[in-house]
Amino acid sequence: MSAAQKTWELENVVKLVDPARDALYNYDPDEQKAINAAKPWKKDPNYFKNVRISAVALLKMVMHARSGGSIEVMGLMQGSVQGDTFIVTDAFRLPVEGTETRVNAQDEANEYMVQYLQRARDVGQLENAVGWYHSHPGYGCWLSGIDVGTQSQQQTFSDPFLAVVIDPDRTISAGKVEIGAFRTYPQDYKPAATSEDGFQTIPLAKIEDFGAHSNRYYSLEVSHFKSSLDATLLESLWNKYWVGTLSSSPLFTNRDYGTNQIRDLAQKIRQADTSAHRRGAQALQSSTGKDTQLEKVVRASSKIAAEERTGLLAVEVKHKVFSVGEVQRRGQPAAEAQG
Amino acid sequence: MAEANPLLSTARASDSSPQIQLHPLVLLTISDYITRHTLRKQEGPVVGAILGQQDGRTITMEVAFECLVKANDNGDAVLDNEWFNDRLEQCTVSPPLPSLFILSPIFKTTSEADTVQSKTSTNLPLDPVAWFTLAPPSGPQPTHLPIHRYLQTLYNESALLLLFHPSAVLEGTATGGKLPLTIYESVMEPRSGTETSSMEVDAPGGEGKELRFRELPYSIETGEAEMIGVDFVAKGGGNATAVDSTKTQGGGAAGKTSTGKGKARAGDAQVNGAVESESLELSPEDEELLSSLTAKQNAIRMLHRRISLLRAYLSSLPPSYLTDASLPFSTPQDSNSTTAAAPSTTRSSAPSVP
Repeated sequence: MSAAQKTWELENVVKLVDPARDALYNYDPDEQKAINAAKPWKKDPNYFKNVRISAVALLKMVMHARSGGSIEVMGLMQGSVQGDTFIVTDAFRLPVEGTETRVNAQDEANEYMVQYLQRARDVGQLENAVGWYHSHPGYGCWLSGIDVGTQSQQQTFSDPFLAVVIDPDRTISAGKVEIGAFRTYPQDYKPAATSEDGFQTIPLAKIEDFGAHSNRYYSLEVSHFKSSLDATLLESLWNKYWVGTLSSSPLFTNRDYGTNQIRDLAQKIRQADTSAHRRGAQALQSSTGKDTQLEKVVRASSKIAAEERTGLLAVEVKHKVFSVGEVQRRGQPAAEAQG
Repeated sequence: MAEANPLLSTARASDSSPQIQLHPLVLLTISDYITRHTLRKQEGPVVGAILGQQDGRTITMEVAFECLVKANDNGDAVLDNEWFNDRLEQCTVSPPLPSLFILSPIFKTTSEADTVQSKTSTNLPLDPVAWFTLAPPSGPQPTHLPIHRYLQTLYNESALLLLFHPSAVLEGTATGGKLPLTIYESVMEPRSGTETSSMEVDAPGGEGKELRFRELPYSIETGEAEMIGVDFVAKGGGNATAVDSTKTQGGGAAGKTSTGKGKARAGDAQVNGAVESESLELSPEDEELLSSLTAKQNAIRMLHRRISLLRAYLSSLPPSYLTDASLPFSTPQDSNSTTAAAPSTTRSSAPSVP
């Protein structure tokens, strides 16, 4: 084997991987079996709180969603469970197309899915399907009535299962990946009442569908991870975009997004204002001192402020580096570049 | 690198050679496979197929998947035929018509108006255009030939080979804009009598010719959504959530280092908030600002490097005889030896700067 190892460069490859830092890429079938047997999520409807998606899975999902254009596409995610976190290591598309209201994984996709997973297992991808993803082109990341039905069925029969929604249109217009991850509550479970989630704009045509089901599920915190090799490769890849990094301004490329965000925020503030008036004095006495609605407004506004600041800094940097008109500034670019 | 690789063609890539457009997804798939393969201590070589489109002389490499490899009767590593067929079909199958689903007219109108550029064909005709494996930078090895011939015979007679060089990553040559990989096309060349005969045993296509590999230049190509996706994963998860839960900001965005590299953390310990607390000093907004400034800094550094290179080149040129009549006319031949290095590094280190 050692001769073969050498010809296929496997000995060098070992050094590229950091077992501690890349631990999420490992998979322990026994551990997963034990977790599946214990079913800790049965006791707490809010058990799962985080989702971590690998770079390759995220990229596959975003590209697949985008390739569908205005048609909803869907696929499955492979991965594992660690504590209250879903680890999504890979994703693959299903050969079905849905419209916004109906995405059905059950029938024609089933056979494909089973075969695909088997083939994946043959090459050492032992992960089971831990969720499904589909796209909402242009109308935000949330679950429709049918989505809720599909998801709660999956949670009944093949839990642990996760629903991920990607909006490819908003991804393009915002220049950021718009993604949400959800789990439904059991039928009889009544979540603590929350006021309308103020973090995204839902088109008016959808608001009814959104409102009717929004208390049937909750969203999970989404983050992503990459291996140390990914990081190295991305770094050298990103070096190729240095011209764009210097010349473009996020304020300009994302201006529609920015304007919409601000408009949205203005509405939220008005809403918070009126509801505060309505509650009046008695709310002041009874409340526990926390206004979640206001808190969200604050968070949204600081997010917008940060984005604007990044954009302004981009302009400032460009100005400092390239403005030849101001002679006295000429010394600075060189110093900056060395620093 | 010292002795010439007998499998490499000595001819340079000509104008008739195909132009390669490599997508980052392929790169990440390879990297993902390497990491998984190593951590799970899987046997056998790292081999995979690359799907793409060929349009005239342009070949795109868009999607990749790992392959099941087995040993044939001669002990050579070859692809598992049945497995490969199945997976290929799975990756290229078209979805059934959307009429299977109930259309809801109310919802349809809004989304159609919203989507300006709808690229409705979900499934472009992807063909196996290449395969990848790991190799030293010196080039293809005799062990690579069986798989290459297999693909050539059954799927694509102009199949390309992408070699990923782990040793180049280790030596750090991967940074600075050059990716640790080489793409080869295979050509049939007249056999030169001096070669050892062992590696030309059953060359298809017959007498007097043997399979050689010729290096091809490539460029990196990204689709719109792909670009945003790559940007997103490269910078770390500053803005990973589209919908905020009412809970406090948890593990998610905190799972990256302040350098913006966002290393995958060992996930074992993060059952509850213990892990998050140490890296939560920076808010997601701060992280984002930090990474955007780091990107700016790197870009300025790159600009600086390029300008210095140009300056070095210009200042190393001999004085001009055109503007100064007192200088004797001389052909620039003699200066070539000193300056040739400069422009060639410019080219090779930035194969795809727009």
